[in-house]
Amino acid sequence: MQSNLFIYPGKLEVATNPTQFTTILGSCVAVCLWDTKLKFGGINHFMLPLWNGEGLASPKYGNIAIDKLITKMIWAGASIENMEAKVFGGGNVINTTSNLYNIGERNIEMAFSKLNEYGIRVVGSSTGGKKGRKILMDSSNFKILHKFIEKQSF
Amino acid sequence: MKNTNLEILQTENENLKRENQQFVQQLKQLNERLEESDAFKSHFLSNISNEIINPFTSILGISQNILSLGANEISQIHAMTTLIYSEAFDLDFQLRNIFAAAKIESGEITLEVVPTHIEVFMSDILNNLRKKAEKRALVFNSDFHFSEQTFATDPEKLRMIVVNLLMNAITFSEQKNCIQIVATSSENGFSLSINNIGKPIPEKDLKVIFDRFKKLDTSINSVNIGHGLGLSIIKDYLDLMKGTITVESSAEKGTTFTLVLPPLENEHDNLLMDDEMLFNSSNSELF
Repeated sequence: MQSNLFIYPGKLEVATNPTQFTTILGSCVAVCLWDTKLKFGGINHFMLPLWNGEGLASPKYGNIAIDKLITKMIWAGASIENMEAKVFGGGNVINTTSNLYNIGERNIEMAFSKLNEYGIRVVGSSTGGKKGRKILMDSSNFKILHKFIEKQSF
Repeated sequence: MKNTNLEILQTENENLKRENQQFVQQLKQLNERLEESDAFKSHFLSNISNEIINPFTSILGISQNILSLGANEISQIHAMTTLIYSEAFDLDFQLRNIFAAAKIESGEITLEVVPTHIEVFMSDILNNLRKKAEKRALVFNSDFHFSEQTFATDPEKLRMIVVNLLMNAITFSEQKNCIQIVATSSENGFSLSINNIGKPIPEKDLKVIFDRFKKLDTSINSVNIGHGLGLSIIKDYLDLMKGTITVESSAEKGTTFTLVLPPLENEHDNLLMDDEMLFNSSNSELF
């Protein structure tokens, strides 16, 4: 049976066995990666664009989450040339936990600029807007189901 | 007309210059912080070898001594075993923190929500730490009001949080004092405050105590053990558990950490249940 994993904020996961990743995004962004040759993928879920030296250097921050996801994909055998990416989230939802300005937008910017830096092609995305999102990713074929949700804070 | 336009442009230019200066300033500060963090990281390795190898050496030494004792020297054996226990206890605590931090940093962090019997949970932790407190002649003064017996949370993570707060309270308390522990639970959640009497945390430092590897007292004869990981772990766990922590510190009232946690729903289960809907609903899209 295919296993299901819920991706909490600050978590990242790479699965070489067919796995379904689920996550809920408000202003957070999830970068989904896939190796087109080896046909497996991974996902992260970050809350803030950049680590500013506060607290632990965790994948809660975009710059760390994206680097770590790519490294983890490479450990699992993937190569950057074969990688494709899809980017979701970064909605401008009312965020009660953070008073930072335009956090969603800055998260999206971080995702695209990092992927561009690595030269990874973005083949699909749904970002911005005012709503939250729920996504479901199948790690074996890179199909991602996406739905807007009404939940206002994450 | 042209003049006013020029003036507007000039003020605009001034504003941009000022903004630019602000950004440069921010960048400088950030750089300093990163350098500091990097220095702490290298410090961390030398700290760690001291704080792990030393307890191990004493555990090995004491066990060797016990082995050489005869069966009739039970009281000595007892005293030495107490020493081993206390050394192993600290070691266990330190290692757990290190692994917890490593797990957070590698993104391998999930919530395992189970209904937890909160009174059993709390008294279990206090019993575990009582020996440690007695060593510094400290007494736990607990005041529990649990209107809800069970609380849905991730007990392993909550345990880590509470133990870290208590270990800090024990370490930074003046000897022969009370540690006040007030806990309540209701359907709205769980709250816990831990107060210890001791040297207050300076106000400017209250912001940085949650930073990684940050130890306020880094002097060589500091009574402060540990790696400065505890509070940063707490903060990341609380982010995940949607909880908050506040700290107040003064010379008269000592230091109080207050923790508030909402009950957690098992998101994992919830999500799997309505996946069916997501597949069939008309407003879902395939990417």
